[in-house]
Amino acid sequence: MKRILLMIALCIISNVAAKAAGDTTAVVRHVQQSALEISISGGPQRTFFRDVTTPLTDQRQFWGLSATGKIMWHPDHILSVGVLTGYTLFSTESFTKDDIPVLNEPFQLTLEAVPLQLALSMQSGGFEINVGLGGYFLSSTFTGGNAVRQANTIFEIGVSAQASYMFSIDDAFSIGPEVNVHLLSNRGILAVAPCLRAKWEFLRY
Amino acid sequence: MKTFLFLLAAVTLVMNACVSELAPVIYPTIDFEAITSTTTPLTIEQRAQMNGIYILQEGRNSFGDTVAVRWDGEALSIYTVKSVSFFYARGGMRADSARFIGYWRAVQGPETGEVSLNILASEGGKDLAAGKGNGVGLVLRGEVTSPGSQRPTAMVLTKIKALANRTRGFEIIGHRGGGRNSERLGKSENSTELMLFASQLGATACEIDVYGTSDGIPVVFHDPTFTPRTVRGAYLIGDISNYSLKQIRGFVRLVNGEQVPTLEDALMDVVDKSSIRTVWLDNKDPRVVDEILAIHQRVMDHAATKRRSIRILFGIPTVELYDAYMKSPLKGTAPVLCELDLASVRASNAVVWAPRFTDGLQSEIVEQMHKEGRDVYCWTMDDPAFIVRFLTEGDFDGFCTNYPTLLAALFYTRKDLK
Repeated sequence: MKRILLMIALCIISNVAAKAAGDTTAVVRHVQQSALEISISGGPQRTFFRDVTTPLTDQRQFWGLSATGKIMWHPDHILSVGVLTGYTLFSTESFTKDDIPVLNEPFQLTLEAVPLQLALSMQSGGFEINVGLGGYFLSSTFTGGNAVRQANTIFEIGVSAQASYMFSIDDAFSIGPEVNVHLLSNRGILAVAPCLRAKWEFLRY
Repeated sequence: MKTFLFLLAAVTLVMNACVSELAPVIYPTIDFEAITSTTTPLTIEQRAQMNGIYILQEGRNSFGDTVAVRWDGEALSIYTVKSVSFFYARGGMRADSARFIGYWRAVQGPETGEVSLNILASEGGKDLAAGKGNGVGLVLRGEVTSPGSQRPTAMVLTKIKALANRTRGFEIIGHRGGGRNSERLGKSENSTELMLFASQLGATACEIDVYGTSDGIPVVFHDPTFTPRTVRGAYLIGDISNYSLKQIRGFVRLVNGEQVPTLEDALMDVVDKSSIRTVWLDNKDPRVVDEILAIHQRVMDHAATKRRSIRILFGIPTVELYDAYMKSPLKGTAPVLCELDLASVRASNAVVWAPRFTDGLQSEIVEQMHKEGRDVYCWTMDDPAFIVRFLTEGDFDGFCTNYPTLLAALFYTRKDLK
């Protein structure tokens, strides 16, 4: 995690330095223009649970993955607005029948979510920060030893935040590192994902 | 740049806007074995002699002027209105004096401490040992510790009269097994542990909620869904009726670590291990009416073998439950508590009518119910002003409350009960 943060910091510093030297690889908003853009990001994710996830273990941290998609409208201002969705795997655990005497069969449990949020973001130079307000379709899946699969889904209020630094590939495409955070405070779930983000401005007017 | 910083600050605020956890309450560790092994247990008559309304000469700042002292089985209990506290002490006679040790606990906050009380021979101990008199004038003298205080403070209580009572009897009914404020007690709502603890809080009865699992087993649980308010365990989400009892047992615990109890296990434990005399089943799931009535029969048979007197009321809180009950082949096998209109109360032959307190005193209807041989329990009474008003102006046979300690203190120390 420290290495990833260091890489992000180095990217930002090098880009700022490049800008000062007149380099044009950093993303600079086209002033006096509005635009629509799509961005996707993805990466591994570390999930932190406030409480243990089952009474069978003391585990509260898991590796998962995060994939986020946004469609954003950039008016002729620094603030842009849009919709955020995607997929996030918070945790998955497997238990043998010896782990769960009461069930006497193996079980695999998975907790995943699809965010659906209003996205608000701001850019300054190549740096971009985004807040997602709304919730998550939180889904829990039990896969039993007898091949029974049972899924339950609820809607849970939550927020997300993303911070990224984008480098221009060409006039419409840019790419850069992103840190993605999901927070479902009622469920006691915090997830942090270092991601790679790609952005495409598909309409400018 | 300012806007950018503002947004950053807003994000930070949102990310930190979590509800803070309540600090765990650590009860004092009391060596009850040391006191019970060196004292002689009081007889039932001696306990009755001690029961009463006591005034405080010392300790008023913490616990008010007047408290109720009442034996519950082997435990000496004290209930206070000020700071809404209960005392739990064990002990007995030593020749012509008595000694008790235990702890006290404020139910609305984290405060707790140790207590030790003595009855000197010259302050009622001789009469108590001899079983003479009604206990008026008996003095409990000792000290209590408080959080943050290095030195114990004195506590002196003198009995002035017998506990207030009511000819028809009165049930102090702990809501959700003993009180919804259970997060302060270290025991989860609707847990067996809370039901067994309820009498310490002053409850004579408890109300518990019943849902059915996907495999049709009645369990004690309040909400239709699993939420972090009631359970710990990340994978059980959504309706409780989606999960089998085995899944619930395997992957979830109540917030203080207890198992979600089955109705049958909980009632058997209440019969075997508590002094609770009435259980109100607040049934939420019409699918499992027959199973609940069958469990009632089994538990009552078990109670009969134990010679245990207990009343388990089958609650009808909704029209759906009423319809399911009226269609059940086991209808009439359990005493019914009905929360619906009077026609439904009569049609279901309910022994208890349970209106909500917001409908008012309803004195004429309550009187009519009494004439028909039915009791009337009112729910859910938590506010001291309402409790006092309904106790003195109304004629109810019990209140369901989240604060049985408060209700016990107010009920037993009232002067003008009907």
